[in-house]
Amino acid sequence: MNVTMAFRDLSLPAPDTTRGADADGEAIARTLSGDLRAFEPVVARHERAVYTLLHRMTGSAEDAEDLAQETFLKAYRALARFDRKRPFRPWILRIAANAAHQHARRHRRVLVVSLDDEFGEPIDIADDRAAVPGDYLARMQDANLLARAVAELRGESAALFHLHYREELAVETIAETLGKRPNTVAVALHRLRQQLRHAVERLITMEERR
Amino acid sequence: MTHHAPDHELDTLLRERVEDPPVPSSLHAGIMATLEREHRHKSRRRALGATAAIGLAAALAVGVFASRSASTHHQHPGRIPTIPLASLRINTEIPPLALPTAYRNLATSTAAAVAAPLNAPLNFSIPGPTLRLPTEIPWRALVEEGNPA
Repeated sequence: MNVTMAFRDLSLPAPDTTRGADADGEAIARTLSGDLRAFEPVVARHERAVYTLLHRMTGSAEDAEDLAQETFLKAYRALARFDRKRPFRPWILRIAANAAHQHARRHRRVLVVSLDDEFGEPIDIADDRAAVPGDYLARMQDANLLARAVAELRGESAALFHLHYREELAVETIAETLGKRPNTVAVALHRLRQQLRHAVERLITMEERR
Repeated sequence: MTHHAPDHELDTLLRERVEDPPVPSSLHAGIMATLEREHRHKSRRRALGATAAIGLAAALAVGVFASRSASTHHQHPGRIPTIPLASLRINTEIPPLALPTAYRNLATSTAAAVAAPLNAPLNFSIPGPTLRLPTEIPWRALVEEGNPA
């Protein structure tokens, strides 16, 4: 069967994930009846989020592109099991996150760490309420150190960053997507902020030594 | 660690200052090409299953008719049984273009294998989503060969 492929302008902003929910359900129903072309708008709506999540988790553009294809292939094969009353985005992102983990296992890489391992130590909540020097925030922004710190994230820490800050999913949805308990995710978010603060401070120190 | 941004400040920076990695222009085409390959494979698998079903149905149908014909011949020697096979229709729900040449050939050879022992001009065609096995089988040859009495 010949399928005409339309090419989307990838420079456009990421699409709104919630507005397409109804359209996703209809398109998936048509896809299940044998019309592959109906699935193309679904791919277009979610491919950026899938790719970005995979890029953050693996740290590799090539791996992310390969795994994005694998993710949509797995989703296509499992489409009949998708509950069309629910949003498609968390479902496809869960498949993507699992694909990244499987990829890491296949290549014997350590995807810096699951939420349970990385954030397993006791935390000091009061620590985050300390005073904030203005120059510290300014340096974070000017030197783009925060972006560099985020770029160092891998595995579930990176997934957590993406799902919370980019997808803006609720903690419960993130937990479902990553197969964790909501409480684990809430604690992990706190530790993620701590981890990023430490990373930024380290980067500032490195720059000052130059 | 001596300096900390509060959560809300940090969250704002993380949302506004951290950009996503650029998306490669080949991403969409790559995904769709992968899905297209899978779609073709799925169609082939369905066609193969349908072909096997067609072959089985044809063999069963001919077997049943041959058995009835033999019985008729025993009860009424000299009479040529006239059990029509033309009404056999199998809806495969497969569009013609989705049926690959290999499986089209397999389906044809299956029908030919069924027809050969009968010395029957069994026509097998795939005109569209509905497959038909229209034929008039010369049952006399089959019956006389199978029942020399």
